Amino acid sequence: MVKLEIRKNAYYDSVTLMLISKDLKKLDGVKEALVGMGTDLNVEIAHNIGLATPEFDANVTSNDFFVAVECDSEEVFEAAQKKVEELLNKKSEQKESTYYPPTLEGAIKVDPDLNMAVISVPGKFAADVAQSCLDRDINVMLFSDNVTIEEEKALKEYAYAHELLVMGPDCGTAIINNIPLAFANVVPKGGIGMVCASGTGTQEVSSIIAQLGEGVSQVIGTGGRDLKKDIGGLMMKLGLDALINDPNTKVITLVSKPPAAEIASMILDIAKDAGKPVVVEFIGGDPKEIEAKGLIAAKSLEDAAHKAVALLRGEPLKDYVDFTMGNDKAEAMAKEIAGKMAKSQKYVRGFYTGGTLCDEAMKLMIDKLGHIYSNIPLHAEDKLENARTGPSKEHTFLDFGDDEFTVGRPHPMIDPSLRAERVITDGKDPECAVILCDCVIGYGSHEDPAADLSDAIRTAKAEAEKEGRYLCCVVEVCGTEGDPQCLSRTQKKLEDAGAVVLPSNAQATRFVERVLANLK
Amino acid sequence: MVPRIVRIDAVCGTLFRTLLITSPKGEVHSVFERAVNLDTDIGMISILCKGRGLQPFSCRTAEMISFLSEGIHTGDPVKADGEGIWIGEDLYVSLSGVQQVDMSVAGAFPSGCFAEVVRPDPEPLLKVLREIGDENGLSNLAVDLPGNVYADLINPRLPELYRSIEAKDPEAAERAAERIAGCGIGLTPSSDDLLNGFFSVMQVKAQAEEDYLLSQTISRAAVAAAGKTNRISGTFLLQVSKGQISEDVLHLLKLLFYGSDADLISKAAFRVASFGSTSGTDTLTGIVLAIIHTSIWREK
Repeated sequence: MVKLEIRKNAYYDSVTLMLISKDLKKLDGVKEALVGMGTDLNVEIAHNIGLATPEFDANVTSNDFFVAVECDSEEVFEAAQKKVEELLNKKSEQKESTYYPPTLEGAIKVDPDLNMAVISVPGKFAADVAQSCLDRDINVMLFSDNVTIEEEKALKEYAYAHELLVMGPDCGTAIINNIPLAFANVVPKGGIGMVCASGTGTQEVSSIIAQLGEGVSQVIGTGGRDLKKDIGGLMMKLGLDALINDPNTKVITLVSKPPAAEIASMILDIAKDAGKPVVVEFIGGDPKEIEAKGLIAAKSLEDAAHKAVALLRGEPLKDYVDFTMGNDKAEAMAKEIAGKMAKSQKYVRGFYTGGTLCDEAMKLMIDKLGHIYSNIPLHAEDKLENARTGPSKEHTFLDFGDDEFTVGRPHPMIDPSLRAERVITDGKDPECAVILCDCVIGYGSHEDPAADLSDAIRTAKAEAEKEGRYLCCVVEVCGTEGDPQCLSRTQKKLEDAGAVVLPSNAQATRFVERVLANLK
Repeated sequence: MVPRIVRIDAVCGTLFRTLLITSPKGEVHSVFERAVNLDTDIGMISILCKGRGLQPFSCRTAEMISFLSEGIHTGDPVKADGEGIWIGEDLYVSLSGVQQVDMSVAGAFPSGCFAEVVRPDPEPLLKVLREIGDENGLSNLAVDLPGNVYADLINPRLPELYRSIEAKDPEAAERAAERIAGCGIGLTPSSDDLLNGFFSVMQVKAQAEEDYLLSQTISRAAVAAAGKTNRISGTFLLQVSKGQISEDVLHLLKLLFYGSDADLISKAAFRVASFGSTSGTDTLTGIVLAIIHTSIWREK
């Protein structure tokens, strides 16, 4: 039977009409449905698809809203009418709809109260989309990259003036109100608030906090350029201010590469008056100014997490430079591994999917290694040319998430296969002693990043053994037990492949240092 | 009692000038979360929320506002002048210090600004439609997307629109437009949005080349189309018949016809396409069809 409902001179916006149209067709017993304004052409379509009735032709006009339904029974039509009424009147039910609006306007219609948007559109469109959100008082997480610094500055100045967040551009990690956004881990709710200008650095600190049994209040990303002079640390300031005023945040942790000097000074000045403890990790930066302002400087991302947890618990502070397994055990293991190696084996190869973790590892090891060749070198003279296709040189660290490796490919945290191939390639190098890798799990990451990596480690170790060498593979897993991939399952998979698995990037680098120091 | 005052920061220039010399009265026609339409002696006036692109005969609030939460109802009395608009007795929409925005094709493309308009490159627009075109609208008339009953009905009727416009035959254009208007799910049915985009492009050509006959043909076709759809959607078609088009579409057309780079065009097209459910992509489709399927352009 064909049934009709007409609402005279009734106007509903297009998104609502689209929702109704989609949802009616899904109702049991509804064979076909047409929704719209009663214009001649819509009436014609109703005729074409068998949904017109004499009543329809006689009563509907261009200014009337109609619902025409072909259904099994009166009961089904009543259910359809009820559904229409719900969608027109109950915004809360619209939130639960499976309709995914293709536009911002549509999203606002589905949930007029939304106040946070994650933007991942091509870079050239991103600033406009972000500004549209800010215009509607919606905070922004700008996942997109290729946004110009001028655009970033304009967006952030507007946002700062209106007390709105622009996390990004190129911001991969945030946890807002306990909801992980983009690449983030399942971290319990707790008393540590973080403002961070680094993706995997944020994941490392928040994951270790979770591993230590604590949680986070908010994790606010700023994007990597926020603390440059051009931007002036606007989002770091705003984020810091938000955490200072947040009663649920008891301890604040700031994570970034070393900022421009005047920006660092300004941020530290705000932090010193926070009225709550602030741990600062300017990765590889000079701790003197931080400590001079009465703030707590961290030695590594891991140390930042340990110190934040200690402050939260009221425990005494100390630099965390140890091994979870015990220093003696780590030393013995490193010595044993080094003892199995051939004389030719001298160098470490660090293959990272996380840029900040790669940068941190190099900074932690540079004093001992002297030169580290890389596609993201610490010193210009150590730049490794043709990093993607060319061979490694002596101590080499590669960030597989850098542009050179991601042209035409997904980010290695989504598709780690290129890194796995490199593990096998470098494993064949008679001079390679240790391969050091990260394995980042959590939302956004590959569903099982340890699978490819453990296969590659197994293959590389076997190949080396055939040639009379012992290849050491050290892996740090960044993540939590609650992550979809599960920390312990991931660690186990890598251990089964013969990797030495450590709970932090800093411990992994310390372990590699011990192995290299014990080489013949 | 002190009324609730809503501040306006931008107003369509034509609307503002009309309000300065008239004091129209009317009533609230329809209320949405982010827009309210007023049916007045001088035509339909829209008040749009901050963040929306300005439409012809509309004004935009300086702050975010939920009109549904303001207690505005269909039928509430309205009176307006150059200083502001009263909705009932409790809400005053202030036009004090407002920025006037010229939304006329004539303002953007002065008469004779091009001796002959060159066919612009539609590729940046097609790219946006490929990215966010919606299969429920009419984007599939321009790019490869699944069909639907609306596109099936409209598609065979478009060639007559192109032919009549090219021939500058007002009667035939009226008939062709009437056979297209009012088709689709939305409040502004998809085909109306498509016609709006199509007529906007044609208005630019007519204005820039001082082609009076073409202008008259478009105007009559747009008015005819307006008669075949609902009041709100028809209002936009009536505005385009007068050469008044939305802020975002006008910006896109300026970039397109004055030869800006593809990146800027893409950004502007993306903004147009982002409006509403399918309204934006359908408008963009109309612009693309006008560029691709009519043969009245001088080729590069």
